[in-house]
Amino acid sequence: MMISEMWTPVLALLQQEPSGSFGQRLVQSFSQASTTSFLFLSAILFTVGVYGVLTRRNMIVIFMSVELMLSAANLNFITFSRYWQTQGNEYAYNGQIMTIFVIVVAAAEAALGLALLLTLYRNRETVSADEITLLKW
Amino acid sequence: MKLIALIPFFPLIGFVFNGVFAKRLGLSEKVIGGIACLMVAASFFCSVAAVYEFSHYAHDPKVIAEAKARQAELKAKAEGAQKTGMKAEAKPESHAAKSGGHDAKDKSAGEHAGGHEAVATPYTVTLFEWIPGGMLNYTLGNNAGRGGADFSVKWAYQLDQLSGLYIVFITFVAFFIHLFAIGYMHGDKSFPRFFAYLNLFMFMMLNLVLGANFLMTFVGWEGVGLASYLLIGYYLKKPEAGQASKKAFVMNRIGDFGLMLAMMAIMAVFGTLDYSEVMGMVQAYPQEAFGWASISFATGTLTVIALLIFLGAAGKSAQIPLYTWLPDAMAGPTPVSALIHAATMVTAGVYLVARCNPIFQRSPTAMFTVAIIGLATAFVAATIGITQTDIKKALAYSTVSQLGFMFLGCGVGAFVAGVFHVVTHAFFKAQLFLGSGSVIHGGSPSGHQQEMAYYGNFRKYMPITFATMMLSLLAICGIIPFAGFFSKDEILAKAMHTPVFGHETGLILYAVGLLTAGITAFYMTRLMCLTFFGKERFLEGPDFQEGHGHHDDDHHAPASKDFHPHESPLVMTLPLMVLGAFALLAGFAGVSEELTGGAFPNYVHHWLAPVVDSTFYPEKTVTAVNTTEWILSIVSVVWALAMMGVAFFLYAVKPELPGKLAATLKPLYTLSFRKWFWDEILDVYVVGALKKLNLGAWGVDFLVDSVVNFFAWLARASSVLLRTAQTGLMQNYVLVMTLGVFLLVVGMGYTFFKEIWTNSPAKTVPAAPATSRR
Repeated sequence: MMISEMWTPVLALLQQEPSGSFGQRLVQSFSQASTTSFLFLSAILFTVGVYGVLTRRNMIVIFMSVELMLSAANLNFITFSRYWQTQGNEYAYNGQIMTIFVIVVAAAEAALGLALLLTLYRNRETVSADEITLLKW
Repeated sequence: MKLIALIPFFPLIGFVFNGVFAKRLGLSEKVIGGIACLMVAASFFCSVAAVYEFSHYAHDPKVIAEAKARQAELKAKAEGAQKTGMKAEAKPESHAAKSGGHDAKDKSAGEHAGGHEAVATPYTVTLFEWIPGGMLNYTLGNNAGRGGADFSVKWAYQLDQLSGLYIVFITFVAFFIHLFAIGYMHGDKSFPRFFAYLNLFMFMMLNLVLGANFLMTFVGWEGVGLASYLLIGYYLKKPEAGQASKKAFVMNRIGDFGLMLAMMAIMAVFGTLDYSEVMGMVQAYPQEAFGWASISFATGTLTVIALLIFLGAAGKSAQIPLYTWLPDAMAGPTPVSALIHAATMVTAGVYLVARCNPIFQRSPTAMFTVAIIGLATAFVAATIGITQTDIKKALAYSTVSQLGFMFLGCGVGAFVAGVFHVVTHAFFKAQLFLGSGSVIHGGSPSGHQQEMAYYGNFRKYMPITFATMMLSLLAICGIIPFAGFFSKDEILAKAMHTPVFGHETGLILYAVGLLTAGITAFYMTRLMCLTFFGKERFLEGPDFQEGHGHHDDDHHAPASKDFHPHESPLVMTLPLMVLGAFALLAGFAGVSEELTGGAFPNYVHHWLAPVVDSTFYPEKTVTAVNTTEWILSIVSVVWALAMMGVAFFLYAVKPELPGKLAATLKPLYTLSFRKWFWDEILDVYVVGALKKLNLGAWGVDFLVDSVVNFFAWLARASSVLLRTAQTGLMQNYVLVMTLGVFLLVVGMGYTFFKEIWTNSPAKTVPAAPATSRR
């Protein structure tokens, strides 16, 4: 049941009679999609991110995977924000604020992380995670 | 008076400035020396102001009443256990039984206590709490086994009569020595370093004297040791200077060990290290028995403490058996010898003994030790002084000898006389050292010639140095009315009439003391004759020989033969004159009232009376002239004059005689010249024994180490498993982290859903009939 619900926005987009632009239809289909489907999307994003972090060797790709995980978290925030709006909760917008906050932090983190990577490369001439093994006894 | 904390900090400023900035700023010698002098002068003026204010404070009836109340309170606190505990009740009896012959004195002391007026009124300034220790138990003494001592050490300065006297004369003498050093160290490569060290020394010395507790004094004690070490080894290129500095440091460490043990014992007995509290609480203790038996914590706590304190004092003040470092310390620059190794630091031991006089007075054993060690040191050092050829070494032995006199004074119960001798000695011995500095400075082309064999007839070239040194010579020989006469004679007289030991002992102490005083007069006159009289021998010095090398280790061409010794500049002669004047005048501050019948007040005595505990040996008020005293004085003056005459005859009139005499008295001469073989004895017996002990210690060390190492190995072995878990691969860590989060989520989910399942009606509803069925 849940898996089928996940595809609701896509199905809605496909099943609808074409009226209006593609963008309008997209927004419309998403507004119809259920909270569960968004959460599923978020979970998939997160898992992909974790998988990337664990398996990839290139630090830059690991970095990108981390960004994916962050996006998943953001999507969760937004989804629940949307859900609480429908419930008329006065704190519903906190989720959106958090998302913007996370985006800002992520930007800073990206800048810092890339700078670190650059320095690492200059010193070790590699950005491969399995060659950086000094952090042990 | 609240600003006494500033007094030590002026030299600290000078130390930091000269030590850190002077070289970098490229300041001239005058500025550097000026700053150093200025800081000491500031301390001096602050000291004088503080002492002036204190003299009024000490006479304030309110203050005196408060001090008395506090003393009574402290005494009651220390007596506490005697009244309550059963075990403690037996103690005073055993004390009384053992003290035997001193019972009568205890009684008279009790009668006297009501009438005694002089009470110590220390004025304390606390900067901050240094070591907050919390509550602890008394482990020794009257209160043994009881808790409730609130131990805390404060960074506090205490001004009382004793420290007041000390800071004034220390800063005064130090100022003139600093001034002298500007001239003496002129042209030295590391001029700022020298003055930085001197100021560091002043800071530490003032800390030592002004400290309000044993630990503060100990900070200063170690600090002056450090400054002394740095300054003895100041000439970095002279190997013997480095050796001497190490020797001084190690010898002092032995003494410091005693002092540290004493502090621990004091903590165990009194639960505090504050001077005022300890000296107040010690009032509750009776005098201990005399003899070997009292050297144990069970029967003579205070004896042990006093002896340990004296061990520390003997190290710092160069007493037998720890005196050999002081003559070697003459490898340092002459102003250092004058300041540290004659006037101030080496008298710290006397200061400590005088400071702890209530403890010492309760232990005749310790008093006797102090007196005997002092006298023996005075005698031995004086005999060694006769044959020294190095002018500074001769003066160093003289210093050791005079320090022995001070301890003799303390040991026979004349603490005031001992301290007074410290003050007068500071003036005349500092002057003598500075005079020798002037001679060394101007007596040879290199300015480093210390052998008296290459002096002679300098009075022609250095009239001021000669005249001022004559004043000090008369002072140290004890000729009336110079400073040394009043202080030394008082010590000798007090030794004869000592209330601590019997009359016979006193007579022996006096006789040996008098003999030593005569030897002092002899060798000091010898020194003066060799330097200022006789044939001119300065052209025979090594400076005029081909290919000589001195400590710069570069070879100079022989100096020109038309060299003439020259008088030093004013910056050096001014201190000589001032200190010489004080060598003449300082004695009048402490004219013994036995001599004048009370017509001329003994200022030093009246000033210091409150600090000295008069419980056991009350001071008699003198109203009439004591003829015995006069006879003793005349005897000692005549004796000193006679010895001076002999020395003058031998070394100035018939200079060929001493050589012949030495040949006839060969064994005695060798004994004296080789310093009683003391260095050799120490080397063979003490160092040898210690080396053997080392071997044993190595065995113990190995044993203990292997036990400790086993546990270390155990920890290491058990950590292998955990250690290998750390691969250094970042992704492994992330994996573990992710798994952890996963487990956490699963666990939380499990508990959450379990709750729902167990509470779900679907399960509970069918359960109800099941129970009813049973």
